[in-house]
Amino acid sequence: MAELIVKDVALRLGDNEILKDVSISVPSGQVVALLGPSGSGKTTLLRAIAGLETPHQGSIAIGNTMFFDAARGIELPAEQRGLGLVFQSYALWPHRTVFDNVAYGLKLRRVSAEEIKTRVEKTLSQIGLAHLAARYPHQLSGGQQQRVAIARALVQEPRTILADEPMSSLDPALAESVMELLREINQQDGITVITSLHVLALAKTYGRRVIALRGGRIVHDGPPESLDAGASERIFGPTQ
Amino acid sequence: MPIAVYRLLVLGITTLVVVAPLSLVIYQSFLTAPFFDPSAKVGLLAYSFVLADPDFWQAFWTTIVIAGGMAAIAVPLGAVLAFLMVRTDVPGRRYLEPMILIPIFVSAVVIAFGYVVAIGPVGILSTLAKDLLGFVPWNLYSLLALILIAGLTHVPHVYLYSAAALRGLSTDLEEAARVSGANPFRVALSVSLPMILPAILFAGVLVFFLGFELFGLPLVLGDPQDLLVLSTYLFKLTNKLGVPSYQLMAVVVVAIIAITAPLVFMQRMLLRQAQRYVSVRGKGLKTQPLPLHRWRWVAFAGIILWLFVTVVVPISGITLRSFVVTWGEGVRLLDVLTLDHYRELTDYPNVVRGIFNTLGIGVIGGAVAVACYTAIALAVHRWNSGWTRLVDYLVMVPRAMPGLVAGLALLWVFLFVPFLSPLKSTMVSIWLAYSIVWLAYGMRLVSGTLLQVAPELEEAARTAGASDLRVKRDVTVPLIKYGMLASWLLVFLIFVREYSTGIYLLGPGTEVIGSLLVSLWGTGAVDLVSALSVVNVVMIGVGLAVAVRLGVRLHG
Repeated sequence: MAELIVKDVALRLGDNEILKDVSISVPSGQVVALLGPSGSGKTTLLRAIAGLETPHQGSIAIGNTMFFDAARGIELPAEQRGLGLVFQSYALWPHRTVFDNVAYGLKLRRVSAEEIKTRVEKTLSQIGLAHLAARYPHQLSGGQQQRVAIARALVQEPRTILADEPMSSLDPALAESVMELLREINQQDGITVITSLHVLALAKTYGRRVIALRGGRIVHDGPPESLDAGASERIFGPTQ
Repeated sequence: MPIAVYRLLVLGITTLVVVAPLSLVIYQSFLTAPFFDPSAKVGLLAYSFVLADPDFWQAFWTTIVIAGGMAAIAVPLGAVLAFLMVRTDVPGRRYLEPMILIPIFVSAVVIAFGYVVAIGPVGILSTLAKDLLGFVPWNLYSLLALILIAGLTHVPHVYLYSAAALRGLSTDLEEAARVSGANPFRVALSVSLPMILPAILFAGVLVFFLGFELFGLPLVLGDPQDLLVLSTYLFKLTNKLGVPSYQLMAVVVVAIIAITAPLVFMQRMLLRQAQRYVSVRGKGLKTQPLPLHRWRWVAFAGIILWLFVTVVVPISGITLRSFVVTWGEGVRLLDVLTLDHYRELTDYPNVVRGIFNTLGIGVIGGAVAVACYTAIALAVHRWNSGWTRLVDYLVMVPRAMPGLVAGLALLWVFLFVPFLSPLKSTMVSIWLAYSIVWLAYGMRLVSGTLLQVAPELEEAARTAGASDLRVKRDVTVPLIKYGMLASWLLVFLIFVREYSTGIYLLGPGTEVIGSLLVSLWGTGAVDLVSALSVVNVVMIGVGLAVAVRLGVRLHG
């Protein structure tokens, strides 16, 4: 079973040590909530896994594929990692339609036009936006844009989807529907989902496993039920 | 092609294009004769000659005085103008701004001709003044007039940087001063202007630097009184010995670069400081402008007066002169009106070529230049490497070479490198010279556009499987296409108004309006010069109108 293994990863941005000896192991098909206050290193960890940041120490691998190994000088470029990344700001290309945004990765992989059409339409149907394929991102609501961003990641049939704060820009109802969508994707396709969140209750609701970061270190790793008051204090600090 | 190869290629070509002319100038300055002369030896003879020439020192000190005077006039006026336009309720601000920027886009040589025909000894306004007062209360051909005109026409440069800094500054700071009881004048002096001091200093250094680049105004206004500045001294040096005196010219070029290069690097330091100040932002809420009450009309009148002196007088002067047979005391306007000067333009094939070449260099040359600037900017875009700093400095090097100097250096490159010689008499030489001279400006325009592309849009493409170059092709370039279009329009305006860079490259086939004007002025063909100047102003006017209509920010 392909497994994401992050081992002793440390990452510095300028003088700031953002990640400090982070090690996690995520079995295939799991839904993991990365929890932590702002600045705890959640986004940086996701970006390092995706290949958008380069750690100065440690290794990152999925199954037999070594993505990064500082000691052996291995660094697989982001475009070759085959992961789906959903950005906090959606990052939809404003000059491309919904269809073209979703189809982009497939075109790069030289998938036939017919298959692209089939897969994009199927994915857009799955997220309930097939009727908006011809629209541009600015013609969509925030929730719809977030779904397109997920579809763009999903259409490539990645083994793992990384989602950076997918709920932060949405109202509670929309946020809930997006998280439900990620859960469905996980249940139907067995895709591993790692999503960063900064609210404890959401992590408890949607994560099968909660990994918490504080100051760049992992301070909690366990099922949602293990998030008691003590864990909360370790993650967010004492409440006033 | 891997991104590393692309970067290497772009860096290599840029370095070659920037460094080759400069190296040749320095090499030539250490020769005893022009580089093509077999008797040329390495030595310091040229330095001894130039440094012992009293004309050089007179030109040097005059340049310092003019540059200092320009800064002394332009800096306070530009800063106050920026405060009035950005922060107060001066009437008609929206319409005034494009007009304020006109002196930047109109060729300095056209402005100089305009002043001569408007307020010269027998100028249109001078004869009017003499009719009314019995004497002309000004003397255009004086050092004071030259400084005053140079200072007033460079106010927009200070305005641009001060206004940009003010727009980036939080209004909270000024509002805090207002609720503490400060009137708008106090707010400006105690909060706004001190907060943007680095930007004002930056603009001051820029204006001082531009004083060294000044060529059109001193050529036209200084020549009748034998007033030389370094650029006109260089121009006159061409034939000083009766034979090409490239080694002497190279020494003057080295002297100019020795002064301007530190100024350019000082600007870079100040710009960094200015940006640090600008980062002090509030919540970005739209706020009400400071009410000037009854002073708003006084401020408006002051701006209009400045516009009248720097824009209306020279441009209306040259326009009027282009429609009259002659002008002088006792001449009645209606008796001398004519369109002949415009007809005459078509009698000279080189002038007709010059008009088409100017349009071509603006439209086609501008587009190709923007494409090249974009290629360089893309090579360093999102490249976390020390090489990007090298490129930053590299593109600034030509900025230290005034246009006249860069044109001369390029001429030498074309003469020095045999396989490039055939290009000397084509528009490629002019295009290359213009593109190099305006490299820093063009790069700033394109880089500014690239800064607006959110990194995650490119990262999303990478995670979708696109290589670095593919990301640039599929995401970055399509997203900056409107910025590139705006850059093209601005580069068009700059290329069309350029005059000094093409002077040494001027020949059959490489005529452009700017260098033709300088050449024709030397022959005393005032009629043709006036008509051709108006043609140039119309081209720039159309370009400006299109730019404003399309919402292009004229400050780039």
